[in-house]
Order: sequence, then C-alpha cells, then structure tokens
Amino acid sequence: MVLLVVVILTGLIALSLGSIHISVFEIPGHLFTSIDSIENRIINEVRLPRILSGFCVGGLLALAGCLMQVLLRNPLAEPYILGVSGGASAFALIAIFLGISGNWVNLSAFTGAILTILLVFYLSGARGNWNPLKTLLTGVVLAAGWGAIISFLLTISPETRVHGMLFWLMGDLSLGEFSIFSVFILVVSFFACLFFAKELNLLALGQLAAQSLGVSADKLTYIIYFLSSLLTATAVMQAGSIGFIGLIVPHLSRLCVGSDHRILIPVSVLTGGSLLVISDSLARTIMAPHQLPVGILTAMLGVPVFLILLNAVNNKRT
Amino acid sequence: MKILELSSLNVSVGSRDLIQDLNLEVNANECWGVLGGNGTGKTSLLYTIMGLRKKQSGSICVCGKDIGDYSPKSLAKVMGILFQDSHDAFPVTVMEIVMAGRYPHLKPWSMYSQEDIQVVEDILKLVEMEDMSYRYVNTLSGGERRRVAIASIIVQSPQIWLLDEPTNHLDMHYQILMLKLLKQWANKSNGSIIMVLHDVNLLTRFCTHAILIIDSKNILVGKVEDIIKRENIEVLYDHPVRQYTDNIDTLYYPE
Repeated sequence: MVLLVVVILTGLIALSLGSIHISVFEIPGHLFTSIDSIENRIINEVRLPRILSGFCVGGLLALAGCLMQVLLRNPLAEPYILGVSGGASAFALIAIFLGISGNWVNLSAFTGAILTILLVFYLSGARGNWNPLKTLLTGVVLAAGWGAIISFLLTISPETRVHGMLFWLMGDLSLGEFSIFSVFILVVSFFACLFFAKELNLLALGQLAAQSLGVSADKLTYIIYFLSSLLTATAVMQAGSIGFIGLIVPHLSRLCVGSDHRILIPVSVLTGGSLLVISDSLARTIMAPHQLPVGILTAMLGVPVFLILLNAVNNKRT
Repeated sequence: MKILELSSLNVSVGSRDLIQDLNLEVNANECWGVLGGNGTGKTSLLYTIMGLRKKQSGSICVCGKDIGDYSPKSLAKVMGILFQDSHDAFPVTVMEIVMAGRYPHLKPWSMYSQEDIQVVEDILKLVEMEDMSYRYVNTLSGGERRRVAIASIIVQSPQIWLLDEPTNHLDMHYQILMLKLLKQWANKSNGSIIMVLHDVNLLTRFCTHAILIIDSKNILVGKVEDIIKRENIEVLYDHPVRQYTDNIDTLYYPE
C-alpha cells in the first residue's frame, strides 16, 4: 500500500520536472481536462507517455530479474545474464549499421533477443534435463560472443552512427514510445507469476525439493525461462539495455520483504518501475538541456541505496 | 497392507549399475533401514522410488498403483522425502520452509490458511523450534536446520517416508528424539519409513526390516533379526566388526 502511494507521488513529481517547470499541484488539473495549452500538451503528449513507458520497462526488468534468480538459483542472476540483451543490441546495431532506422531497429532487436533465448535453450540441452549451471555458463559465453560482435560493429561504423548505437547499449527511454505491447506483456506475466507464486517459492528451495512436494518442476522451469526471457526482450526492445534494475531491485525487495514471491513480485515490479521513473526524470533534468542515458542514473542511485540497505539488514540479522 | 512394491528394479547412474533386480514389499507400519558403503546407491534408490530419478527398468507401485500414474501433487500426498542436505540460494524463514510441506495438501487456487499456520506451529513445537519460526534458516546451526527439515516432512505427513540420513548433524539427544518422533507420525498415518542410516545400532533400535546394499547384485533384504549379523556387516563395510551383547541389546562397533 505504501508503495502504491510512492508510485503515484513519483509519477506526479516526474510529470512536473522538465525544462518547463509545472507545479505538482497543477498536474491533476492538466491530466483530467482538455484545455489546449502548452503545459497541457507537454504533460499529456510528452511526459506522460515517457513516464508510463519508463515505469513499464522498470517493472519488466525487475520481474525478469526475480524470475531469473529463481530459475538459475543464483543471487547474481539478472535479466541480461543469458545474453538476451547482447543478442538484442547486436541485432539493433547491425540494423543501424545497415542504415535502417525507426521501428525496424526495435524489431530487429526483438528478433535478436528471441534468437538468443532459443539458442541458449538448445545449446544448454535444457530440454528434458534442466541444469542451472550449464544454462548459466552457456548464456554467459553467448553474451560474451555478442559483446565481441558489438565491439566489432562499433569499431567499423562511421562516427555519425556510433552515437545512436551507444544509446542502445546504455539504454535510453527517449528511444521508444509508450507501447501497448509492453504493457500487455507486463500485465499478463505479472498475474501469471502471482498465480505461480507458491510454486516459485518451492522452486527457489531447489528443483528436486519442489518436485518431491508435487510441483511439476520441469514444466514450471520452462515457463519461467521463456517468460523471463520474453520480459527482458520486450524491455530491451523498448529502451535498450538499461542496466542494474533487474539485478538490484529484486535484491532490494528481498531485503525489505523477504523471499515469499507472493509479496516479492508485486513489490519488485512497483519498485523497479518507480526507480526507473525517478532515474529517468533526473537523467533528463540534471544536465538539461542535455539528456543523459538513464542507465547511468539507475546505477548512481541504486548502488548507494543497495549498499546502505545491505549493511543495515545484515547488522540486524546476525 | 502392502503400500510399496518394487519388482525387479534396476537403478543406474551413467554407465554404472548401482542396483540390479531389487524386489521389495513394504507393508504399513514397518520401518526399513538401508545400509551400504559410500556410493553404493542408497540415495539413488530413494530418489528412484520418489520418481526424482528415472529408473532403468522394473516397476514401482505405491498403494497398488504405478508411480507413473500419479499426478505430481497426488504422489506428494502419499510419499515424501527428507533430503540428505539442504542448501538455499536465498534467505528463507523457518516458517516458509516448514510451510512448504503443506503444499501437497492445498486445493488448487487456494492459499495457506490460518489452519495451515497452526499445524506448522504445532509441529515446530514438537521439534523444539517454536521460538525460531521467523528466523532465517541460514542463521541456524546444522542440527537446527535438520530439525526444520524434519518438521517439514512431518507437516507433509505422507504414507511412505523416505528419509536420507535423518540423523545428520543431530546430537545424541536429538537423534533419538527425532527418530522416535518420525516413527510415531509415520504410524499415525499407517505409513512406513524407509531410511538410509550409517549407524547399525540406530537401525537395530528403530527398524523392523533392513536392506543391505553390498554391491549392485548382492543386496540383502529381510527382517532385522534375520540379516543384521556381525558377518553380514563385516562384508557390507569390508571392515572387521566387534559385537557386544548384554541382556538388553546387541551392539556393533568397528574394530
């Protein structure tokens, strides 16, 4: 509940920040009337879509991170660890390199992500015999391979195009517009995960433990694998590889509310969304009129918050 | 009443045959102990019975039905396993671990109820862990964790209890207390225990039947008084054994 309030407040403050300052208290008025003024249009056509898309991407990444950690049974797991973002970026860069622009770049990124998902699944022999460590290593190695392709493309590309490429690699919300597709994916997976929350709790105890307690562990593992990959692919398609949210937010939430996924999932999604909206607001204001890639800000905010919390909780527990 | 039947069961890991042509009939209210040297396939046998490992050939019937015909959840209602060791990637509370044992008994779509919480709290009292229900398991000692795992399988209360070295990490007092508790709850559900042990004297004290895995083709199955003998134990562990008998017990200890 507290989080919901935080989310709404974050949204309002984010709406008021920008090169043209609009007071927080005037915002509800602008949102719900249709007077044609500059402020009104800035709010409804520029800032609101960007904030919604930021919230959505943050939620997608946080949820994907939660699932990935259960899937790989590894606290270091994050949405990009299996190379999904690498594949997406490499494909996007190839598209940019070839002079393609607009939505085709995003589509190309999505294709790269899906291709990576299938490749990791096939190469790790996951069918019929899920081995988290093997999957993890396959993904990490594949990600390194994509990294090499990306560096190669950056080296041979003309300078005019490199700037656009960098924004893909660091992640940026100004690229994408608000997309119904991402919202749809987020909402559907969110409810699917809440439905599976009990089973996720058992799976976090181990594949065999879950199976011995009556969970169809193999089936659930495949569902989580493809769901978390799809979430990541969607997020990357919309905003490039925004780092950090998918790793830090699940941990941050776990430190605050524990490991019960029935609570952890909603808290992670809301926290991830808010953190990205806050970071993005700062990214477009602190060096205005220059806009920074939001990935820089997520890390700058996330690192100290996480470290402080980690210490506080560890002192309490021991 | 027959609740578990293994016929000509073969278990292998990779190209290694661990157990060949094992036939076994377990009736209600029996307690079976499994002895064998390291790596002879005791754990693999339990995993195979539980359906966690694919059998090479043969059949496993639980309450007259092949385990392949059970849904995962209905199988978990009649059969449960206590793993040799547990390790968690994420911090979980005692309550959450023990509550996991209730999962097979939940109706689909439903959440854990107040009644489930009550059951868990009652059983935590039995293993003397009631004061720690909201502690994180990674802050507990090995023996305390073992008692948490034991509480979880008691909460599950299946009919067939597969216990892999249940006394691991437990001190002398809790070894006896926990085995008594497990046996008492197995009898309550008209169930049977099959447990892997390394202590022959605990086996003779608690078990009615025993399985001695000498090698893959040489497996002794029978009542404790028929097969727990000094010469069998010496062959089993390939180690000289001494026997001490007073008017209560016969004890075995390594030379």
